[in-house]
Amino acid sequence: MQNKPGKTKKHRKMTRLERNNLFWGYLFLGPNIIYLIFWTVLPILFAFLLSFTNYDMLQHDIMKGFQSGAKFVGLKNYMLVLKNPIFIRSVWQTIYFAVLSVFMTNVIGLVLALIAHNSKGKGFFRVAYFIPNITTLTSLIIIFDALFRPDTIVTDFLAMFGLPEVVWRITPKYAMNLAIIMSVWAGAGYNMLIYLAGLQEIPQEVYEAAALDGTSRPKQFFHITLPLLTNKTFFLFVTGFIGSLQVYDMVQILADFGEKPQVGGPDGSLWTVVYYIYNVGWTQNKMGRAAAASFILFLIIMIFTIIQRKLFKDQTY
Amino acid sequence: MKKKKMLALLLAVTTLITAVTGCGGSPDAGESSPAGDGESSVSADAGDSSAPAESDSQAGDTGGSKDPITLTWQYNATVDVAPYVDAFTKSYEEKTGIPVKIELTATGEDWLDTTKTAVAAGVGPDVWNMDVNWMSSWKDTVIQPVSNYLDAEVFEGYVPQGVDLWKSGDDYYALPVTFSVVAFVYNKDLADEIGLDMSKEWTFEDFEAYLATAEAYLKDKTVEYTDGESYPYYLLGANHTMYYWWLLVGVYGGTPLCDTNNIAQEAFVNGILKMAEWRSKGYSAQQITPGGTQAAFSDACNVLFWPTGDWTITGLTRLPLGIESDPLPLNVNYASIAAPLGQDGKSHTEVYNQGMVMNKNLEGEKAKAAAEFIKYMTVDVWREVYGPDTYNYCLPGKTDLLAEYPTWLPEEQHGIGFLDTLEKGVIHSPDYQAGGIDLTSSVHNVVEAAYAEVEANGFDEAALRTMITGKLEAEQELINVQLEENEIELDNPDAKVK
Repeated sequence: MQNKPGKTKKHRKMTRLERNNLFWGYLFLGPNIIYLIFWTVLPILFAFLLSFTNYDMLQHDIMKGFQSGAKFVGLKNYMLVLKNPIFIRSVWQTIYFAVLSVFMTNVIGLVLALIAHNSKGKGFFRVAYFIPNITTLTSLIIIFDALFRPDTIVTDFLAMFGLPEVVWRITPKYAMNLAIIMSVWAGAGYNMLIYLAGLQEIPQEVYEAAALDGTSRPKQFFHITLPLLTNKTFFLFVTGFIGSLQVYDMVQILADFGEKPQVGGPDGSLWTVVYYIYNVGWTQNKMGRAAAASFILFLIIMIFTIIQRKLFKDQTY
Repeated sequence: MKKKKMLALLLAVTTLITAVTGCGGSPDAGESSPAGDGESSVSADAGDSSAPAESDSQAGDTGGSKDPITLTWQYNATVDVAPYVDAFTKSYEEKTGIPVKIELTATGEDWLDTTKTAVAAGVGPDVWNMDVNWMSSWKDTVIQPVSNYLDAEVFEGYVPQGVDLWKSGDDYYALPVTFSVVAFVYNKDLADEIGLDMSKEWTFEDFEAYLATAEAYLKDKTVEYTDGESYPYYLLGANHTMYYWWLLVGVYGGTPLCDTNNIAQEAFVNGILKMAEWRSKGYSAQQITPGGTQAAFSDACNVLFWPTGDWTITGLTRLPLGIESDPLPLNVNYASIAAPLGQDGKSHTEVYNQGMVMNKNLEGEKAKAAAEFIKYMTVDVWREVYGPDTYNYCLPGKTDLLAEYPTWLPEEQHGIGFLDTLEKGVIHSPDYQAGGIDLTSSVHNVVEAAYAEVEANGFDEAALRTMITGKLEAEQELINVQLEENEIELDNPDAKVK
């Protein structure tokens, strides 16, 4: 029934059955909503409030609420964080890590997916390429630390391209690159799975039609395959950046690995934003300032996500 | 469908209740322990350093409580240690009737943060072992003085250089279990062969002369190791800053970082320059044998001097705990000597000290029991339980045991340098945290930069001095920013080397 112009639609009353269904629908959703409120929304709100205080985890008893001794300091925490050279460095290093690791993971994931898609034994490749994704982080670091040091097959190979044979983990110029290589090695398998699913969704008839028109394989790849994978690429880029911009455990374990841990890694080369947040919050105990830094990170991630949405906006099929 | 609806309702209510109660705080005061059956128990969280022990006793446990006391002891070690450590608590329980529950956490930095967080939340273990490195950060905020619950005479039985590190004002925050000082172990046969007189205290000039003599003697000589490869000789077995405070503080007169938050010191410039010079001459063990410096020194025997803590020599002889283990391969005839004398005629060293501390939230009878347990554990419980041939790492915390220390090692020459250091040297605390900011990392950054510079461009004293000075000042600026953020007074506000 269409509304007459100038007249608003009248909402009819819900039937008893509809009300009943609505109630049970919300009830089924209930546990998740409750969980979300108590363990996500409320902590975020609390952290936001904390970011405007000088809360020190050891000096102030948070259980006493407003009697804890923590004081409201306005935007001071935000200003301190934004002026801190270590934070600024950590932002640039985090972006460096995220950009390189996301791009490389996607490129290699796509290549692996193309190999797997066009080969017999897809199942084998799916498993083989995904195994790095489930390797524990500590094992990963032990392996890569052993590989990227002098007199190994890896550094001997890289020496052919002029790279010096050094222990990458403790060399400032190479420590973050080691983290990126590890991240790409571990993450490419997951991207491969997503791309593989995308490749399998592309109808073969499209390629047949292109072949009939005399389109070469490379052109088919660039003009058919890649565009039709844009939605997958968008998903992987967005989720990849969200994850990579929050990199922490890998860099901290790398920095702490070995006999003599080095806060921030060799010459501070492993500082990332979340590592900085952890250091300020749990080592220096300044939870208020750590909360402020975490909201600045939130803004950074949001900016990256918005940019990607704009870039991919009219290109996802 | 009705069943599903009821299930959904039940799930929603359960989730709501657990969400609300999960946000609640600490257990009630005086709540009895689940292990209150009189037996101590061990639960091992192998590799899981994110789960600090929960204490069943919180603030408010009054002296008049009739609930049985159970202590929770958080012990940081590998899971293999569990059965041995369990014996100590059983021994204590037999004597006192107080059960002790042990929570093992893996070694590493995580346990520090999780323990601290737990205590801040009002829970956490009752007692635990920790290094003195965190004393200034943790006193009164995480740990409380054990001297509040023990007689003053107790502390007189401990080695002053060890127990005084835990003192603030008139309060003692721990009793030392063990501690280590840094001295030099050296290859005695090799030193005799070269003709070095190691029988007396040595000045820094003596040390440099010995290095020059050894360098000339060992030039072009190699050692064939069990892997079939030949390795050169190395004069110094350590590179890291932590083994060179005797140089920076003692020889060059720097202020130790336990007393200042200024790293931009002229003494540090000179010390790091000297370390870089040694590196450029190839003195430092770099491409050493498989198995690292320990294998190079004790097995291949191609390292002459090794500045190290005395955990090395107890490690060489009594690994891992002296219990049911074989010592490492020990082909070297080694001895020890205090570090070269500093400007004041004394060896300067830092000390690594592990003490037992107690949770700041404890009160009343529970706190007293915790303090008594700490005292019991720093008595020679190892030997009491396992016999006189066993002990934990390093120098003992108690004075009467220190006299026996030389007999614990196969030969007196092994430990004499560490004992001399303890008795005649100047001991500095390794508490280099300024409000949680790690100062030693910053110094080490500069050391590593100096090493990289000499490897890239050789040893140019003037250029290196400029580089080291600039780097120390840059690191000091970063430190100052963080100190200011945390409202800590700056010892070097303009961050210039002086």
